[in-house]
This record gives sequence, C-alpha cells and structure tokens, in this order.
Amino acid sequence: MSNSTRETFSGRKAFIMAAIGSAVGLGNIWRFPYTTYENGGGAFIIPYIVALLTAGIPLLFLDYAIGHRHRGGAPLSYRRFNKHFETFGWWQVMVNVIIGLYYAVVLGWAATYTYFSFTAAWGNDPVQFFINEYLRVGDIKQGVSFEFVGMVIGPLIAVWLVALGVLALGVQKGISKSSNILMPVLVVMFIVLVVSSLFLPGAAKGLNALFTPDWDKLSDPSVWIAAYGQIFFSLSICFGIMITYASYLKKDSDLTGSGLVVGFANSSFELLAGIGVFAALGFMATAQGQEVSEVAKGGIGLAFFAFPTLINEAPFGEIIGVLFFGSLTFAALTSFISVIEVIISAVQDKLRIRRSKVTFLVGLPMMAVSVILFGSTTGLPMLDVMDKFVNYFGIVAVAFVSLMVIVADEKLGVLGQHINETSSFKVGFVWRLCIVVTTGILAFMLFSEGAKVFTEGYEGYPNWFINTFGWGMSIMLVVVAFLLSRLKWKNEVITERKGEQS
Amino acid sequence: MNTSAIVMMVIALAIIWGGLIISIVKLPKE
Repeated sequence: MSNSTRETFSGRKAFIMAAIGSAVGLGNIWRFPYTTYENGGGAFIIPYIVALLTAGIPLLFLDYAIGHRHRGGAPLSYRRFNKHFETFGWWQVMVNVIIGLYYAVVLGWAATYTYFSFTAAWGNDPVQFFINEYLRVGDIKQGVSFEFVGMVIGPLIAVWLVALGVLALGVQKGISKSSNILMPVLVVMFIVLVVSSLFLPGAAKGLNALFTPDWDKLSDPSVWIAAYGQIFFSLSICFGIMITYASYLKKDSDLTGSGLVVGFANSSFELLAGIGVFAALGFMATAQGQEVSEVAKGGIGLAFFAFPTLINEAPFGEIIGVLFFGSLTFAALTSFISVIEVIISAVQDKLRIRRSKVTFLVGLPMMAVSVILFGSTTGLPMLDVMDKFVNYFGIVAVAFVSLMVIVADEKLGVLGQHINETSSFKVGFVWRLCIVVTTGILAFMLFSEGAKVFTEGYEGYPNWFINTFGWGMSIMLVVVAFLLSRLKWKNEVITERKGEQS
Repeated sequence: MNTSAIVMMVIALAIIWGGLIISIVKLPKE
C-alpha cells in the first residue's frame, strides 16, 4: 500500500462526524456534569470555556496538523516528523491498547443495561444488584480472579465483534458510515432524554445545583486544573486518535474550520448532558426527600447506581432508561472504534498488510485479553486502576512529553505553516503560545496528581496491585513503545516530506 | 430556578452552542 492509495474520508462532513463520534463518549455524559457541579457550578463555565479556547481547540489543531501533514497513524506521523519521535507515536498506541481493553467492558455494561431498562432488572437495590449480582465483584486483596462472569463476557465479546466488523470495512465504509448512522441517532435520543428530564418534578432543583455559581471557587487553582482536565480528556486529544483520523483527510482539507466544529460540538453535547443529568438528579432528590448533593455522582456511580434508582421512581422510567443507556452505548461505541483504529492504523503502516487482516490480527488477541482481565469477578477494581493510571497518567504523560519535544525542537512553526496552507482560520503566535502554556499545565497535572497517588496510594487498593497494574503497567507501556520503535519498517515508507527526514 | 442559575445556563448555552453554529456557518464551501 503506497501513500498515494492511503484511505481517505469521502469529505469534510465524513471526517467531522467521525471526529465528533470519537470525542463524544462516556466522559461527556458521566464526567462533565459532576465535574461542573463539584467545581463551582455555573462559575465553572468560565474556566471551562477558557480551557476549550486556549487548550482544547489549539491541541485539536496540532493533532490535525501532525496527522494531515505526515499522512500516517501516530507512529508513522511522528517518525516522518522526526525519526527520533517515533517512540511517542507507539506510546500513544500503547495507551490506546489499554484503554481499548477496558472501554469495551463499560460499553458491554451499558448495552446490557439498555436491555435491563425494559424490565428494570436491577430491582429495588441497584447498587447491590450491580456489585453482587451483575458483576459479582470479588475481593482484589485475595488476588486476581479467573472466575469469569457470563453476563459480562457475552456482551463484551459482542461489542468487540461489532467494532472489529466496522473497522474491517475501512475508513469510509466502516468508520464514516457507522458514525453517520450512530451520531444522529445518539443526538436525537439524547435530546429526547434531556427534554423528558426537564419535565420531571424537581428538575429545577437539579439545574439550580448545577448552574448556581460559586464565584469563590474561581480563585482555587484546582478548579482551573479540573476545567483543563475535562477539556483534555473529553476531546480525544494528544493520544493518537485525532492524528490518525486527520491522516485520512484529503490533502486540501480545511483543518481549523473542522477543528472548531468538532471542539464546539463536543462541548455542546456535554453541556446538554449536564442539563439532562442534573434535571434527572433533581427529580431523584425530590422524590427521595434529599438534597441534590446527597444523590449527585459521576462515572460508574452515576450510570449504574443513580440512574437505575431514578428509573425505578420516574414516570415512564423504562423509556428514560433505554434512552440513557442507549445513548451511553452509542457514544461509547463510536469512541471505542476510534481507540482501536489508532492501533490498526499504526500496525497497518508498519507491516504494510491488508486492513481486514490487521483488524483481526490486532482485535482478536485484544478481545481475549479484555475478557481475561475484565470479564472476571475482579474486573471492576482492575478497570478502576487501569483507568486512573493509563487514562489519566498515561495520556497526560505522553501528551506532556510529546508536546515538550515538539516545542523544544521548534516544530510548532512548521505545523502552523502547514495548517495555514489549507485552512480558513489562520493560526500564529497566539496558537503557539497556547500550546506552550498547555504543556506547562499538563506538567502540573502530571506531577501534582502523581505525587498524591505515589504518597497516598489509590482508593485503598493493595500495594502489589497498584504497583503491578498501575505504575508497572504505565512504565511497561513506555518500554514496549520504545521496543516497537526499534522494529524495522516494512518497505521503508517513512520519507514523505522532503527535508524532514535525516 | 434561581436567577443566577438561569443566567449562567443561558450564558453557557449562548457561548458554546453559539460557537458551534458560527463555526458551522463559517465553514467554507468544499
């Protein structure tokens, strides 16, 4: 496969839909609402918008420029940029490998709970049901369990097969077509969910809790870090996804115009999620005679504890359940597809073999590992630790290091020039300044949170568990990335831009 | 809903959804 035959999206709309599909995921629905609530409510909107404009959108432009200029997956793009940078590309790929392994599990849970919603299968105690009956969570202190849970494994294998089927079809017929179908369905379902939530008794109480500003919080640096963190994790930036997708754009594509649409669309969706989720939590608090602070949750607690409880009590709860868990499933599926595509694209570039072959060469072993690690009774603590160490430390570390070398190697000017060659919205000094400042913020996020977890531990898990599946896993990703960058490229296809390769 | 919550919700919607609409409208023809 030569570069001239690299697959492309059929046009800008196809790329934008796929990129929004990747960006809009679990984080938009279950992370943004609670992060906003915890960090000053309405006042949080100010640091959030500042973070979107100064970090999110500038980093999106940067990723697009790297992928589009070098027309390869993350490792090939970095290698073409500077042959010493290839390790960063593989590090990003390795982060996606780990995220893909556990993201599939949550996707499987969401799909299963969509089905459960029809009958409210969780009964009167959704927390007990989720922990003891559905996941049958075991004690990690007794060691990693290989007692597998059928109810988890079945949907887990199913979501892997669906995603691999889509990916095997290719960029346009698979990724683009699936996004073109799933994203409109997701948006319609979610709008219906939000409107339904707004009509629930007590919805205003939830919205008051979410949007009433606590201005004092603006002087707290941790609130600003939370805003940058939310934007950073929500937009799928700096870990290979946007580099890979941009490499499938046609050569004369408008990078910044598309980037602005993707950045604002992602935030629009999560703002809508905040309104829908807190309107629903307001209803739940009212129904139980509690304060919103007593029922507000984020992440797994919101989706699998709070929402089932709410569905039990809401009028037409089954419909709300199907809409909520269906939205979660579709949002997670398009993101999951993009995560696996980073790996497929990288391996395809390196080995120069057919996409369908690479898809199953990569996907089937990953599916097996995913089932072994997360399909057992210790899958939940495993997921929790890997999410913290790979999705937080892994992404922030690879972003910080790769941005630092790009800045230090004075490559921002080259990328800015590439963006301006084809884009409607031109970038210059302010864009470069935003990248430099964001690099510093990432360093602060990495070292402050790293020091905290290093000294205090994480969630009371045993040291051997944290050291093996947390720190050990994070370090192993870098080592494997370095080793992969030492492997020879098949048919030496690395030189694309004259004067860029030594 | 209290006034400050309504104001902040409207501001957030106006800036973020407004940004999305403007960025779509400003996209040059392919």
